Amino acid sequence: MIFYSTINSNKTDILVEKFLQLVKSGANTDEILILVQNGRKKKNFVEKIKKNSPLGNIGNLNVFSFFGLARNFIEKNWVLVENSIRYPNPCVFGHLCGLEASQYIFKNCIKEIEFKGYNSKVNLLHQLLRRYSLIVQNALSDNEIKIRENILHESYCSEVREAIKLYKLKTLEYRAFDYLRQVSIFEYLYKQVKNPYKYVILDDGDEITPAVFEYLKHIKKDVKEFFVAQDPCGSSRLGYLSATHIDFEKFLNEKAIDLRENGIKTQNAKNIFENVKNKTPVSVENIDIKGFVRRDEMIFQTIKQIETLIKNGVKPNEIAVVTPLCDRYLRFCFNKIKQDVFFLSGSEKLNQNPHVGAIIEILKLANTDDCYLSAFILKGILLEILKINGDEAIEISQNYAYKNQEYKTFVKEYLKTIKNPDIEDFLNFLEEIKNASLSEQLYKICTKYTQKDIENQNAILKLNKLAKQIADFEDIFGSDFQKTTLIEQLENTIISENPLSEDEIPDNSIIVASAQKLIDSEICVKHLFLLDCSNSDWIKQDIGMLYNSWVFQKNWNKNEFNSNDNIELTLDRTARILYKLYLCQNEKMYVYSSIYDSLGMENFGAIDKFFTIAQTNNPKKATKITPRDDQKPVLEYKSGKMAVSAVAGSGKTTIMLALIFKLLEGEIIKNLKSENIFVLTFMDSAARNFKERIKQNYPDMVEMPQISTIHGLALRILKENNNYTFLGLDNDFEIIDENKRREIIANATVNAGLDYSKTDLYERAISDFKNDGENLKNIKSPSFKRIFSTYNSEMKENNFLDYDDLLIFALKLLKTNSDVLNYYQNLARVIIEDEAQDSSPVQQELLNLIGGKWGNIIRCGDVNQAITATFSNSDVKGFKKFIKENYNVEMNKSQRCAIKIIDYANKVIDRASNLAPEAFLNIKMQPVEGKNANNTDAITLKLFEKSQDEKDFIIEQIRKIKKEYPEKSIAILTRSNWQIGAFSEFLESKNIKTQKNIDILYNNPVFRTVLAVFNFINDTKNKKNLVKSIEAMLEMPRYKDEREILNYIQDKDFLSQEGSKYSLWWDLKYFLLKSTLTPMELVLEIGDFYYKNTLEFANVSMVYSIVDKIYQTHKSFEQTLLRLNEISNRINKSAKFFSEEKTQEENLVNIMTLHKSKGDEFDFVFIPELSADNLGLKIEDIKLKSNSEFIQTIKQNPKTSETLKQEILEENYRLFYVGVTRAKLKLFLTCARSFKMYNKEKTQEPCEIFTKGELQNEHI
Amino acid sequence: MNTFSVNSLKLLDKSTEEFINKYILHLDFISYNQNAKSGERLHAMISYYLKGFDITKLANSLNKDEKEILEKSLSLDIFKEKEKFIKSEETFLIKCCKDDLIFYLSGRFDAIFKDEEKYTIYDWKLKNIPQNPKDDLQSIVYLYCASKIFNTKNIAIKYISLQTNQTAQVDFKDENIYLESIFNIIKKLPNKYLV
Repeated sequence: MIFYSTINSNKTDILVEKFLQLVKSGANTDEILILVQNGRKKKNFVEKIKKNSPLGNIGNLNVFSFFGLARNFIEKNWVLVENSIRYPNPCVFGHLCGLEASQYIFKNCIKEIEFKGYNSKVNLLHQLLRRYSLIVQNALSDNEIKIRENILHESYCSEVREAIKLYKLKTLEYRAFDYLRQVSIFEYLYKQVKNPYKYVILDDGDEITPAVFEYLKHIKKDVKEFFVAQDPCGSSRLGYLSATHIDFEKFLNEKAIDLRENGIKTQNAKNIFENVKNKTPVSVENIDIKGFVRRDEMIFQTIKQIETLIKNGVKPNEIAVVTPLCDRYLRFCFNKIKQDVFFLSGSEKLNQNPHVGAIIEILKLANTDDCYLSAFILKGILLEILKINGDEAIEISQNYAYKNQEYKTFVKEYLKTIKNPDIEDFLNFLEEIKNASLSEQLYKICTKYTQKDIENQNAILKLNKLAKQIADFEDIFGSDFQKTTLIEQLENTIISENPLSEDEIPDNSIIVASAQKLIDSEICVKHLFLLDCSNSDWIKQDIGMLYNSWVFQKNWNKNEFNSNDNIELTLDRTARILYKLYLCQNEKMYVYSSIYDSLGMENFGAIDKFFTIAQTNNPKKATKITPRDDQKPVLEYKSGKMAVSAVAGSGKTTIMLALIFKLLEGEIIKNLKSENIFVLTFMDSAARNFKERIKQNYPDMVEMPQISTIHGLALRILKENNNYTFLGLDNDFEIIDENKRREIIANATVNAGLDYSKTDLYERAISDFKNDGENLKNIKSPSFKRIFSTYNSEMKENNFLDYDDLLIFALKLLKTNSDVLNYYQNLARVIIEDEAQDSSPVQQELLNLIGGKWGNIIRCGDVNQAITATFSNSDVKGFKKFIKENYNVEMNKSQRCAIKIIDYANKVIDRASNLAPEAFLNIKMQPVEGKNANNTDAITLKLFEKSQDEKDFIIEQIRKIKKEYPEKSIAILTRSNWQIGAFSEFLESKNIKTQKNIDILYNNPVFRTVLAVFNFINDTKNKKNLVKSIEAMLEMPRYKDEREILNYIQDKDFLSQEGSKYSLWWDLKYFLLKSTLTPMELVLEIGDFYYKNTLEFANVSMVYSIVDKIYQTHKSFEQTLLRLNEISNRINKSAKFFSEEKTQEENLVNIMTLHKSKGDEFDFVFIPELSADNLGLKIEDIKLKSNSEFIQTIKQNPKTSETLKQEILEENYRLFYVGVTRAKLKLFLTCARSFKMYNKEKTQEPCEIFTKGELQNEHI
Repeated sequence: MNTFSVNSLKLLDKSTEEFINKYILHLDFISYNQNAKSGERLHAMISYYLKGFDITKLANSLNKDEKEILEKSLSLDIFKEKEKFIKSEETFLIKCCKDDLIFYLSGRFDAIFKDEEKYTIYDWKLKNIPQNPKDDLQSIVYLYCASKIFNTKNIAIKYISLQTNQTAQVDFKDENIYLESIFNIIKKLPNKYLV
């Protein structure tokens, strides 16, 4: 019998009933095979049989999960397996082990094999296991595998075959079979054994794997009757999980009985299924759709919504949350809900549980005498395990840190010197268990130090998991492994199964799960929240280099595989998942997404695009913008290419937004969807600004246009639909940030025998070399060759990509794969580029490629503000050419600056026409009638004798402005980053509050606080360190009245009780005792403590991520902290922090570089220290930096020094122009003839503007 | 918790707290004791033998002591009466009811032999057989369950020490007394856990 059924059709009850009927009619339970998808369903099935059976003998139940079937079969028939193995040393039982042991075997098998044409070595083992899983679960024969190797043109297929063959042999030799290997042994075994089953009951027939189906086919002739429950729209485990859609009507030659209910819910679910398959958004009444800007907003709104539901009487177990990103950040936020929350997904390492982590460290101590320990970990052991008093534990561990630093002291040696009975007992205990087996040691440590109380339940579960893994190793390899190596391998074991067994799901908790877990566990709730719906992880695409889940399906019958196959099959599976998820709710489903993920990276969109809000008759329209005459042509755009040259302050952003609104409202191009609009910005902040403003105007808009930097777009092109596989990249590639890149280059530089300080030189040179696409053979510099080769192989070995690779690879993909190119060309119906003057050649090429089909390309910018060419790959010539060749709208009116300032800016252009003719296009700024200020004192040009005079003048002016115009904004624009700190310090010393606008990590309040707490935790005794930390903490308003604590710490030990009158003392001590957490967890604790419910909390996850990345490499708290301190003052490119809209409430003086000021405007602007060295405006003043000349040595057509100087001169003019045009009311240009350096007065040349010509004349 | 084995009942009888920790809250450490494995191996070898598998190769995996024990065991009379052998390593699940409480008993018989109408459940012990087999909880549970499975009272349980070949046999006596004994232990568990 076949039953078409959903999870709402009581199918299991019907199958249980069938079972009981069979038994009642005389069938023996031994003859009935019951197959279900997983352990939880098995338990459920058994419980139902038990409940409905009459009293007395129920019988021997053969209820198995798909994998359990294989395991049970082997256990029962082990002798047959053993007798077929030709290796000696038989075993009474097969080692039916976990993946850890088989991975260990596989790892050793592939050591010697070179995989040609396969680039990633990091996760090779993992990928091989995935391939093996596909082969086994799809029951593929050798011939079927070969066909697939040919379809995929795998250059490394023979090596893969060799590796798998070797692995299979080795597992036979060891008799070690993990769950996958068990399936392949089962396949062999069932053909040798007489089938005992006359009846087969199959629940979840839609999730069956080919391996299990092959078995059913094999026993079909002996089976009297099959009872199959199947959902025709099910099979959510298609793809990597290897479910297959079986036509059971054909297989059993009978018609199915349709048990699916006909209600609205089923109909809606079917609509979702059909619409998703057809890529048409669906509107369903009980689905609430919301899009947020930041992820933290989405999470908090969900929590708020859940709290309201609970307040209104909904029980916790009637609520479930599904997300593919069950990360620590989400867990942390959800754990703050008062109700129990159970996480049914997410993987974690064993040692992430602090108790388990500490037990593992003890295990290490038991097996090594000469080991050092991080003081942080020692503190963990003392506090968490030995339960030593907090203050004493801190004292002991800090003293150890000092001892270890000075004398390299083994931790056991050190502990022997401590007079504490618990520590003495601990050391004796370690001695006692020294010679026991690892599993015995673990058992003894746990029995002695782990309390069997409910708080430790999770730790105990994990410790038992660890014990099982160790026992596996001892069983399989005897003493053939190093204890300490094994401990290290196991502590990093990632448990992907959470909970460890499916029957542990509590009855009264809110469930947070992955989609598959919720479906597999058949959890039905009233309210189902789908979060992170715009994150591409929702739509998993399992086509890695070594495992193409689609081609490796049993029923794959095409001769080729292309990008569209993947897109379609993935869509089909997504439709099935969403269909099943919808059936898991009984009242309401919430589809929530956010524009940015936790790291501030844009989400590309995923399942959010399948849901839509029912259209109202009056869709909300954006606020209308009335354009000026010079802006009008932009909004009259119809199609084709258009350049917009917009002078500073001309309202470029506003008019571009207005154009985007018009496009979105369908007023320009018919049937244009959001996804068809591509906007490219130069900075992330600009992309964010666009998105946020669109969101403000269309709050219900779920799918946003593609708005990102070029790197964001390149990342999308590489990742979307797993396109990277077409470049031969494996899916574990990692895009490294600037810090990591610098670290690799620094190592390569030092290894090449050069000084560390040369790192800067090679950072830029490597980037230029890659972007130019040069051949390494043509490079003359041997040191560059060496460093680049080391860098390159390190990158390849680890499957890293840097930001340059991102662009180069995306371009390569578009050029070499027509499917991918077509996809983006069809999509990108309009492309708008902001700051086009800063566009690099690669960006321009990429833009032209994807805009190739529709040709609607709008490029906006101001060539006169191109200020990034000398230190980046930008190329202003491209935009100049575009302006020349296409329709150009000149927006040359600006209401920003006072008329005198406009005049001055235009004179800068005139002046340059003599000295640097290529610097500007002759586009002069014009005022807007009646709008610009007309003050006569707009420009002040002052030259001083001494730099102190210059500074005094600035102070005097600022005080004056603040007095006269307290509401007006003030900025100091500097040439270099280092000047920012100096000016800030000076102004602050004069009690003028400043805001440093500089992208260093330390400037972010969350990072600063975390660093301060970490430094404090690391060493509470070092006064200098302590003062620095305390000062950073005192910046927080909550401690504003506690500055006295600085005096206290000068005289006393921080930890002495006298500090208890300060709340800061209590708070820091709290963190000190929390230090058994991992550094990452500590970040979340600190973040939650200080930044909860503020925008800054969104940045906590970014700091978390920075710490996490460093910790992964450096592995200890101390080393991580060292690196954090190192990078704190570097320009931050690794985290895209969110920041509040700038407020001028406190009227801080903004200090930033001229470069950074672009896009900003201030009422009063100071540009100080305008010496010829700082800003050369004539060719004689330009000095080339060593790196600019060095970079030319690696170019095929190197530029002469003269050309380089000329280019710098041109850019300096533009930089000056940018600075000038920031000022709305008054501009102060100053310089001094001499300055103090190491107490000596040094003279300097003022720059060109102070000496002669029209820039100087009328203003002094 | 509604299903009990001999081992879990023994623990419950000994200490409710330990039972809850181990079987309900999972707060117990699993010990992978090498000594216990010897017993498991011998049990498995006997079972393979009874099922008719060729155990020649497998026997090579046993250590000297184990080999001796196995050889000695297999020379016992019972193994010569293969026609009486019914099943080995047979799991069971029995639904019981007393005073409106429904519970289940589960377990596994090492081997079952039938001589004419009498069923004998064999239980191999590596070292010692129960000191007081008649009152041992294993006898009570096994005899009660076997009577339900085979629907007869003509049943016995026989313990055999593999090391010493010492034996003890207990014949079925009274179903109600058995159920009462089992029930009294189960009742030690607070009601909230009896689901």
